[in-house]
Amino acid sequence: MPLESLRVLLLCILAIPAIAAAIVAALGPRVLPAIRWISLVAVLVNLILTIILGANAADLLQKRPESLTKPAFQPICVPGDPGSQSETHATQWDLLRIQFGDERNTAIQFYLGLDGLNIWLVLLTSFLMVPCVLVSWNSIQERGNEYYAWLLALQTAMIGVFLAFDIILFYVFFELTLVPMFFLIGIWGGPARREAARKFFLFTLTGSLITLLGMIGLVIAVYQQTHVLTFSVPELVSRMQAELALQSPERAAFWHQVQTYVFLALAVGFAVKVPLFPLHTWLPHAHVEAPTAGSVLLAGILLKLGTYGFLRLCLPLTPDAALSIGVPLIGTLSIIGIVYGALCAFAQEDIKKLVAYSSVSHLGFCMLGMFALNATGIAGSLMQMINHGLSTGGLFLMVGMLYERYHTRQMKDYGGMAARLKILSLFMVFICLTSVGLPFLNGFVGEMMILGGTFDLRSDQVNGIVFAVAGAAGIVLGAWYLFTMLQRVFFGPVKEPNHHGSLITDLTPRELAAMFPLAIVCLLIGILPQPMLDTARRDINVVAQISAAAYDRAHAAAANAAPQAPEQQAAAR
Amino acid sequence: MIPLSSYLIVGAILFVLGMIGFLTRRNMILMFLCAEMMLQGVAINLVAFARHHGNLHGQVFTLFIITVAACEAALALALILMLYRTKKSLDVSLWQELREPGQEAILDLDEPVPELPREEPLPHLTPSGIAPPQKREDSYV
Amino acid sequence: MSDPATLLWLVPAFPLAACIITAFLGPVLLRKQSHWPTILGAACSFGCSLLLLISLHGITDFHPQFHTNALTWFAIDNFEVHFGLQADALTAVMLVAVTFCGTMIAIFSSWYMHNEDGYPRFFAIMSLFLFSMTGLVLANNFIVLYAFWEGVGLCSYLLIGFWFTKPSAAAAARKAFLVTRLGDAGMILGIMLLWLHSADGTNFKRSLDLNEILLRAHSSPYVTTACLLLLCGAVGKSAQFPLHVWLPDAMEGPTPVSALIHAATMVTAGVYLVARCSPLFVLSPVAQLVVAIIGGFTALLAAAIALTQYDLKRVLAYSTMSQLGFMFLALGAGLRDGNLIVLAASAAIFHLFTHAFFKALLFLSAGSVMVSMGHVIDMRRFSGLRKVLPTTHWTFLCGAVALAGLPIFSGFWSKDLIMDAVMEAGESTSPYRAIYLILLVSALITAAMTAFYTFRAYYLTFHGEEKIPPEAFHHAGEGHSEVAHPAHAHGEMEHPKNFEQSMAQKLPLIVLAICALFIGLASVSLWHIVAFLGRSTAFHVDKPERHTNWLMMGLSTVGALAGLVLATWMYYWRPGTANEVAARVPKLYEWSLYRFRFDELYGYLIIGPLNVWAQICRFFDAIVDGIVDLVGLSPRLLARFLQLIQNGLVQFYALVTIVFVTAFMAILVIWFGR
Repeated sequence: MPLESLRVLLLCILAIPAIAAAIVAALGPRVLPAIRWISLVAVLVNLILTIILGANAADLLQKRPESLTKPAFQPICVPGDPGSQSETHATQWDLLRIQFGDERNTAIQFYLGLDGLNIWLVLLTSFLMVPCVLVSWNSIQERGNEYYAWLLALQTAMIGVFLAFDIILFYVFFELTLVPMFFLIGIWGGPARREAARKFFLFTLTGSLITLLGMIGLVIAVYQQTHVLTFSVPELVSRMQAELALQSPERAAFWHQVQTYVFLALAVGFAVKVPLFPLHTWLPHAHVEAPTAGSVLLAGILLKLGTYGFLRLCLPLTPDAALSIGVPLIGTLSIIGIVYGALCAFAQEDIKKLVAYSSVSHLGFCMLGMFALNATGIAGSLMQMINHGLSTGGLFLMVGMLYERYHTRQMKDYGGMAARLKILSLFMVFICLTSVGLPFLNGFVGEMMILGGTFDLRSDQVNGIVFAVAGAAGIVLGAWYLFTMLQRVFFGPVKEPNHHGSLITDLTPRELAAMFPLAIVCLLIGILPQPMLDTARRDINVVAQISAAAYDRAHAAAANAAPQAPEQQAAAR
Repeated sequence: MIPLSSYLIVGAILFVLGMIGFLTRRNMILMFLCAEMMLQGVAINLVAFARHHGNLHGQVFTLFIITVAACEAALALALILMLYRTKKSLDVSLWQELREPGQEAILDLDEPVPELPREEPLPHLTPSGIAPPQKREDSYV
Repeated sequence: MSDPATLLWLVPAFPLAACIITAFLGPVLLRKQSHWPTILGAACSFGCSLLLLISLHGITDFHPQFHTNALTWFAIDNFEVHFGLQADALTAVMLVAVTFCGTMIAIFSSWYMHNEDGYPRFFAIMSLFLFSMTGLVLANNFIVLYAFWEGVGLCSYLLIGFWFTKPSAAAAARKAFLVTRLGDAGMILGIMLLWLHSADGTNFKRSLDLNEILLRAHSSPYVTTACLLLLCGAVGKSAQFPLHVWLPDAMEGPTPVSALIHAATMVTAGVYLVARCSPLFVLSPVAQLVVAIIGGFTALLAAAIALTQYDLKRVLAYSTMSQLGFMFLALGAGLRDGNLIVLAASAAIFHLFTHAFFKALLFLSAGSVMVSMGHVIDMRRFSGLRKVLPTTHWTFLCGAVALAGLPIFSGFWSKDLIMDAVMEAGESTSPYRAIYLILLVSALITAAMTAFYTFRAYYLTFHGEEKIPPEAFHHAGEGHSEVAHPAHAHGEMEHPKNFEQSMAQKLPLIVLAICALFIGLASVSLWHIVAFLGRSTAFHVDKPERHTNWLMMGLSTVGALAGLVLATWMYYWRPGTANEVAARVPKLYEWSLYRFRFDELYGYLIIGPLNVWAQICRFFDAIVDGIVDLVGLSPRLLARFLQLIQNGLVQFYALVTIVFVTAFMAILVIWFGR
């Protein structure tokens, strides 16, 4: 397929949900069946287009040359790219021109593109939307037009975050995800939905405002040093690399300070979104109160925005700070999160809350792998993002289906469901197995690579093996709480909650249509993970090389400092 | 030649007198007049400095102040009239409703607020017909 | 077919195909015929394994080995996992044992399980299990091995929890999975450690390939750590002390499962792992010593518990633990000097091989008893069954003599070899040789105990007065999860003589009985199994040789006979003696009966604290959340104070303005006025 049509496709997958949202919202709440079908068709069309785009783009991405002359992101399928000859695919679509002093014009651009880091996340987003629409089919009866409109708007925002290569555009989409989710939780949620929605909104907004400060600060710092004002992420990355490669002590001191602040500022917003250990408390509330589709998207995609932000912005833009602060700080918080999330999950009575805390644990894994700062760990982290989206999304879907039948989520109300709801239990056990990371299912590959990457962690402050041991403990604890939940809810003597005489059926064809593809994809990724890795390899190596260069710089600095130390001591005497 | 300081002292005295009056009187018209007096104190200052520096900046400012004060007087007196009409009193301590909720009104025990004459209540019409059902969804955020 | 690489692929492919067929067609099409794919798959797999073994045996190379092309599973940077299969002598012997026992047990299951609800499910998982197990022994890469290792654990979880409506079964399944997973976590850390250190001086590329790691390994501190971590996995899977607690509980599963997984195959995975990694283990005498001590201690401990158990399956479960302990003891006895390593590892694998047959036999016989007695398995409730179940009686006796290690029967040869290996270790120049001698003595005692408890179970079950529990006659109405006796269908349940009638029940028992009796002798004399095993690539030592240690043979024979005679005296000639002895040492008896209270101990030491920690975390989370809420509340709290200023008095506002403006001016004047 020619590149030009791929660019159009890329715009389409961003625009279709938005257009569908507008149509659905305009229809009014009376024609609910039509609204459902329009939404379903929209997400299905979008999924098909995304698959077509993904297949073609993955092909292109795999064919890129392996060797890196200069580590920088090179997105493809960039709409508004003037020619395909140029090495850097930059767009010409300006959103807001900025005249800054007497320097040359610059602009905040509508800069979208695909590369190895985001292609699978975009696919995941389009893929997860289908079960989300299907699972809302009967459970949403009131104000259906608004519901589906928000859902589709959320999809646009999420895809936009992943596709954005302009730092301001990224931020705009990043914040835009909050609004639909706020309404989804706040209107169609459980009893305490307003508090949960408000907490979710304020907590993440506070974090991301600090992130915005960091972004602007970085742009201005780059402008100060190089007199080039740019908002394009690839451009910023390569400028930063050029700056850091300079052997000037003043510049080094300047960048050291700037990176520290920028890293911390960026990290706050993303860490709230991930969520990392002490900043995670909005998550259980939001998950418990959100409608099923909201939970699925929250766990499946929105949390990935945080990890993706770390991967796309923090690691490449502030490599030295990521090494010197990120590894000890974020690494430690991650392992605390892994163990703490697992223990909290075990102590829960509410199944949905258990799954919510399991997200804290799994995302800790994801961050641990990423902050191993090597290709193995980052690849594992990327895999874990996709896998967590599928597994935990699946878990929330199952919990939602169970809730729809019995209207309770308390584990003590259930027992022996495997004898009562056979197919539902089959899927539940399967999804739990994927979540636990059983081999030949999706979770396994990511976990192995994260462990490998963590073992290989190069840092002067921390020992990767300690992290890896905590990670391994997380593997055991993960099995512990999920299997305990299975035992309590699905095994043992049959104990049904009171369902007021309503007919309890096993999975309906609609629910099967939501779960079956998910299960197949889980299996497929477990058996054939290599295409994903091949597609992402080059971009993972970009990040890994940037981090490796930071490590080398830190070592060179330490080596320079070391001979001076004895002299200073001698002088002191 | 009267030195600058004399003008300034007169201005300051006027200003402080106005200020004291504003803070201590409860009659709204008197308070307004005191505020005017403070303005005059400022105006004297400006004129004095204009003379001292030998330019007209201060004079121009003073003209502005006088103009603004005139407008202000018109508005203020109109407001005071409206306030008087609702409470039949010029006592400023009757207007404490803008305080934060949950606070007691502050009452001057030495000179209590005069009792307000009770007003004849307006006649109420009994509503006729049935009010249309208004189903208000509780779940607005 | 003749191409060895194809054969390698076929061995796991048959069970996998059987699994997929049964899983998808079983519930809709095959229903009560669901056992056919599994039986055929296992049988074909056995055929391939046998072909493999024969062709390997026929190769005159010193290290006969087949391997397939490796497919890339996942690879990034220098973390590369290539999926390939390989077979050497060690693998081939394991494969034959696994697939043969698997076939027999599948046939037996078709009788045992045939009235069950989840009949297709059972066979699908069983095939999956065979696939995982064959994959495990064929894997040429540590991660692939680990993947299959986990797969085996998963199948065990699903099979133990087969009757999931039974709370004890569900709990046992979870326990088995979690306890083994605890070991697995250690194992994966060990694998990663090996990977981290696998780059040698000339080749910076790290590897996860089994052979490469084993070849490149060199003595250094990390090896001991890595070995001990790998051992964690092995200890978990093979139910060795201290991770042995899951195995007795796992008897909640259907008896064929106990036979297949918890006797013949899965639990031997740990032994296989240590044997496969013996080139690593010999580099670290400390690790070897730990292996030996764990093995010796578990053997003794399990035997001591087995002495007093009344549950027939539990006796067998503990005897499995004990025999696995023997294997670990042997593995640990392989020291670096000379042929010891070959001898030791071969002894362990040989014992594994013979043990697979007779333990599967014993379990199937126990299953036969269990079904006939209407799922009563307490030996106090039945006795004298030799007339009622003649075939089972004979097959159980065959298994018992093999397990007890009476001369010329299977167990004798392999156990003797283990003793021999330990003795050699005790006579070596190793600094720990004294410990090995102690272990040897303990092993001899354990061997005597083995004979005792085996025959105790035999006498209690098949001798004495004929006593049949009432459940045996009306077990059909006990709920759907219970197995109904086939006789029920024929309405002949009044005649206990008809308890044994199905070919599917008797055939596996008889075949396995013959194997149990003679496979040891045949292996030793016909195809020199020890020498053959010695040629495995895992143990690269120059010249393996076999010498007969008459002293050890004599000692172990005396021990086994002593146990046998004692059991006969206590339970056959003078049946009351046992109770008198128990009354004489009540404390010891009680501790043994209650399995030395390990479950309670772990409950206090691990489960309890973990639960407490979980609750603490939950509470702490509320605190963290509270802090967040407090931050959210802080503007409101601040407003509560600032509110006081807003009292609605115009003059107060003016006063505040004036005061602050004055103060500000004053500060300005004082600060800058000078």
